[in-house]
Amino acid sequence: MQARTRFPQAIDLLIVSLSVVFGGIVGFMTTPLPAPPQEREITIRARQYAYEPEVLRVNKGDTLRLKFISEDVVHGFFLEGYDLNVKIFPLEPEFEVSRPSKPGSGERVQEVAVTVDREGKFRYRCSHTCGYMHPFMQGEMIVAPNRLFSTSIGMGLGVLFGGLIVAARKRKPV
Amino acid sequence: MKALGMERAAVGITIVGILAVLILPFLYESWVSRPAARADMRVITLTAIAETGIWTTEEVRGGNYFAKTFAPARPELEVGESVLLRLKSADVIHDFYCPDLGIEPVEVYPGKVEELVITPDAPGAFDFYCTTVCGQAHFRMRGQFIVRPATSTFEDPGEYWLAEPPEDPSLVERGEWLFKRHACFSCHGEGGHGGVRNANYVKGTVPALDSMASEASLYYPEDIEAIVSALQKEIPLEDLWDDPPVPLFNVVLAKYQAVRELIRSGVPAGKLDQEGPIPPLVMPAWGQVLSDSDIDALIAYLLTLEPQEHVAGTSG
Amino acid sequence: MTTDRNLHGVSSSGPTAGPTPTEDSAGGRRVDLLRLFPPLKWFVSRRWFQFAVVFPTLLLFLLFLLAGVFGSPVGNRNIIVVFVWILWWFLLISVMVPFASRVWCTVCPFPFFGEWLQRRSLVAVRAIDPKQRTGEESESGVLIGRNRYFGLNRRWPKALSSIWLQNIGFLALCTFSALLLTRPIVSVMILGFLILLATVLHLIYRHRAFCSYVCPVSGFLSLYAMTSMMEIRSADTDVCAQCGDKGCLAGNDAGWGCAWGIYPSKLDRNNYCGLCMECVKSCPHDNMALNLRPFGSDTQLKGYDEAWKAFIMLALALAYSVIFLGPWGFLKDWANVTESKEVGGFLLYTVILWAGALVVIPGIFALAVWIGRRLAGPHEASAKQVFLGFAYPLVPLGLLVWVAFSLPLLLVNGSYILMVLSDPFGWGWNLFGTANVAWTPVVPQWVPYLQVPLLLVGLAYALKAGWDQATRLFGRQSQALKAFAPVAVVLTVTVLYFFKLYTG
Repeated sequence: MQARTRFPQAIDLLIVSLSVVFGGIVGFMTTPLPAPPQEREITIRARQYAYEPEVLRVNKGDTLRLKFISEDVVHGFFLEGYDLNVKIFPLEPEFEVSRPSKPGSGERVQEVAVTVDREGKFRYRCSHTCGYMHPFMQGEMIVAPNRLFSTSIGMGLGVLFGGLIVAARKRKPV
Repeated sequence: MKALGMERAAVGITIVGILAVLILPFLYESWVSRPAARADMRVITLTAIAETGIWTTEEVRGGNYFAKTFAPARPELEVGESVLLRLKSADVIHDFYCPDLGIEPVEVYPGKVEELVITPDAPGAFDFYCTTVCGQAHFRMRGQFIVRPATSTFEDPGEYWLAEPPEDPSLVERGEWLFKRHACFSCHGEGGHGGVRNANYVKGTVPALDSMASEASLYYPEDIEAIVSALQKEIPLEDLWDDPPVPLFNVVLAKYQAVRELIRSGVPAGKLDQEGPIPPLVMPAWGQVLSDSDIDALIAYLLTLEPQEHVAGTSG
Repeated sequence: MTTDRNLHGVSSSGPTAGPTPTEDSAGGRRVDLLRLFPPLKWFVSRRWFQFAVVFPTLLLFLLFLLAGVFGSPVGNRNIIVVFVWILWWFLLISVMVPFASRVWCTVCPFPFFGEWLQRRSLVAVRAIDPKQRTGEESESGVLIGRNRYFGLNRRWPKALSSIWLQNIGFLALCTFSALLLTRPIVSVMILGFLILLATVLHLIYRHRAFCSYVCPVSGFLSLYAMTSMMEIRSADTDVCAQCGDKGCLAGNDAGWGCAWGIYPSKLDRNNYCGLCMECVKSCPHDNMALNLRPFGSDTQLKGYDEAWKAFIMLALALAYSVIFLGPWGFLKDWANVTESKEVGGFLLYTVILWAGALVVIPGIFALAVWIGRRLAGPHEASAKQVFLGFAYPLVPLGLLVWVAFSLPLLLVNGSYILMVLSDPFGWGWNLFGTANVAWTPVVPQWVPYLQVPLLLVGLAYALKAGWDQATRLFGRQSQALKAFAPVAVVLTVTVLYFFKLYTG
């Protein structure tokens, strides 16, 4: 026979919600602090179908001086949340930088500076059809302090502990 | 059985519906979309394939892309004939460039069709290229329009791609193999004789490479031989400064270093009209792919080339 | 195996009445949509209902096959890849299953030809009047209940009467997903093969054997439909007990018997009901109800095959999140074997995937269950009951994990949908003017902020569902808590790992 699916009582929902919020706050406050902002020179290499570095860990406030190299064909580099799109040509030190919000704004440069002013996780993806696995070609830029991650861990644990409290409450047999 | 009339209607709808779906796309393509129905001219469809580096006139579809080996295109045209050129890509983004017929690079996205009308006004063989790196075979991706009467033959560069490197080659032989392997002739012309037009480029055509020896002040065969021999023995030319093997060694050395640096690091193409587009043919930074000894081999090969007169209207 | 998945013949006295239904499948918080929306009731009661909803999807499906063969070889410019693996997949897992159970099966084109041949009709019913045995013009075909079918109509082999075939089939399909999702011709081959197989199986076996036991999509639909907010049930099983006609199972001249071989009166879970609405039409007492109900109402896994399906789906969500949504190129090379030529890597990936899905994840889970049982001390429930009971939470969790996984696929690549709408074949058309829409990811940087709440809700549902199982299986509350604690930790750690993948 199937388990009873009682609708949770209001107090149970409240306990779990509070626990989640509490866990989230704890997670938020215990996010590891970032290092002080610095300038970094990074050369991003693109190939079919990955970037190097695959994961870029930076701190909020950093200035990234990015150069791009492609090891095989023309690749794109679309950085989420930063309105940055790059077209990378192989065997050429120059690449084309444009702003997706302003069509037709491309210019050819040898280096582009990005000030990392948003924290969290931002993926960079290929934006120039480069082959079969093109839609899955991506890397990650993780900007410390990554509050979303630690908050979500806190909230996840909050669900568990809230559930534990609810389960441990004395209740009348049903 | 009950509801016979409804059953018959359902069967009818099924048959009509299925036939419609199977036929309508092709009808639409032939009658509405395909410009041959609208244009009074011949239509040539060129589809770019990155893997083998060819433009083909054959039809490339999902069902045959992997299974079939496609033939590179050499469409034949007549002087004065207007032809509608439809450009497609079967995989990645390609650029179509046919300088001798005045076609600046056209970006061809997969799933899109670029259409342009060409009317050749002189007979000859006109090469077309791809000018955006699309794959391993990009640099040898060429085809040719033959406008009757044809005045030159087309050497399929495919054989060089497949050829194994020569066994125990001399430096010059290795350089010649590298020259063909990396399809330097695509931009610098067959045998390095130049003549390939580069749109909006300040010098008009991609520089020829067949005068390297005389530009380095190596006028005598034995002088060329001396330099090549030094390179073959892997003696850095700089070390020969105190006992130079040839006269005007300072000029030779400077030219060698300049050419070596140019091959290594590439060079952007200067614009003729600063407001105009970027010239599509750019010397790549081959240092990312070639070793220093490869570059010496190439230079040795280039020193052995001799200039040749070329007939206007050909790329060779 | 459960009896509601095999039709065990119909004797002249009719099948015995089912057991008294549980409180969940009758009464309680259920709203009968057929009573609430008479036009809906009218629509599903038409003989042409199934045809009307299936035929358009069949036409679309044929169009997709054409596009795969004759259209562009590039996946994101071909309607078959974009509409099936981006649009349909997202709608299926995020909208259709949570809200409308196996409604995809209602409209699925795969059984169209097979069932047409099997029934020799598209809309009509072939039935005999039991009082006059000579009701039909021809005596050919097989009589099942009161319906006449054509083809061999054999019973599906008992040994295969579980979802194991579907488990293996789905794993096999997903092993090749890098090829399936990016090359149109591969989609044509697989989907084309499935519709052919369905047609052939309809000629050999009775009812919808393909749908019930073979179709890979059906495999995971069956599991996640348990969470759905919609169900078809008998409105009042007392009416069923007194019914002599049993047309819902045996068929009559108003409708075919259940195409899935289920006795609707005993239907107490969504798993194997494909919502074809024949029972609504054939019930002489108008006793079938299409209910709206709370999320996560079906809570019992009835076999290890179903539990393993839950493990497999979790393993695949993990694998896909790592391989396709992750930054590690070498994994993509391993999956993309026909282009990368890394056969060794592909074999390693295959072994890890299958071992992970079939052995490692179930093993970790079984260990947690075992520890819980040890902590709980003596108890009456059997090992199997506890294992299956605690495996159930993976169902609501798995659904929400898959929704969270599918969200970026839609938001990042959804612009391709507009593109192929105007140019389905990649031939350069522009039917609706949207063919030149550039690839435009939609707020991709907000995706993690959407995934986190989904996963939290999934965890909450999972823990609640597990706790309900624990209190059912173990007498005392403290015992139940100890028994469930290790599994609860495993579930939480799983979700935390997804947070790491998606946000950290």
